Amino acid sequence: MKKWKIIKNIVIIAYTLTITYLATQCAFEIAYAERGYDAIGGEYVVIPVAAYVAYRTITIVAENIEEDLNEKIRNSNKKRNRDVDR
Amino acid sequence: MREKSLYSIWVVLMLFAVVFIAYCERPQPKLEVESVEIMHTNDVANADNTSMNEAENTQTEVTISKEHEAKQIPEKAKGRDIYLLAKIAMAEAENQDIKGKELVIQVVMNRVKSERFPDTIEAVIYQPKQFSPISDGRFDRVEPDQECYQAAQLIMNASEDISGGALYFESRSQSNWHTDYLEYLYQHGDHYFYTDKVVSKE
Repeated sequence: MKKWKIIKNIVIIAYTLTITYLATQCAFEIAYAERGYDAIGGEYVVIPVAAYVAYRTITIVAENIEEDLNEKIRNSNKKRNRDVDR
Repeated sequence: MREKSLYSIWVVLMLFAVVFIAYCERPQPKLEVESVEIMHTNDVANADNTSMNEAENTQTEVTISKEHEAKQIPEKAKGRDIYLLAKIAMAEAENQDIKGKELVIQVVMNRVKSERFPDTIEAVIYQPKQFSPISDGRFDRVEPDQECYQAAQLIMNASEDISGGALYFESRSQSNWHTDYLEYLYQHGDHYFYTDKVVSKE
């Protein structure tokens, strides 16, 4: 379970950073191409928004997978207990 | 529960795919700016010579050669170039009308096309001892307004040289260098526009 937590955190951080970087870079360059000068203010809003969306989605996935794993463990324990009772 | 997991994984992958595709398809103005190619060719000189032989007066010669040169405008120059053009127009002609700003930008574009000046807009603007706002720091202090951007866009999209081949301009100064060595064209606002004498005599 400890190993799973480490992997989960690494995946969450990597995914969040990647999505944030790609989305921000994209927004900056579109703004630059349209206006002709580097991003000054508005484009920086993309950073927290993209980071939040990416973090939330990957966290939901991680939670769902975690629940699946827990359910599997619970089921296998129940089965083992039933076998032992018999 | 298993379906829920699969669904959320699918959503995450879709989000990643959308962002990644947007990233790959994003415009890359900086690369375009660096790779802007201006065609300085011997053909231009040859064509100029032919047309000039047919013309009767010097003014006509200059106009014809400039019209020919106007075809050599870089196809696409975006982003930083437009910003620099708007900025130099603001620094040089802030107190003038849009025509005055356009003429300043046209002079920069004419220099880019000329073999006697650097080949990129940035290099022309930052060429030492050419534009006074660069040396006195005014260029770094000003920010172009909407009119400057309009003028820059207009000149970049124009197929003709609106300045009549101007390569130099000056405000009224103590120095006689411009009047001694250049051919005077006209005055617009505070600026006096000139072109090369050498070009008109070829």
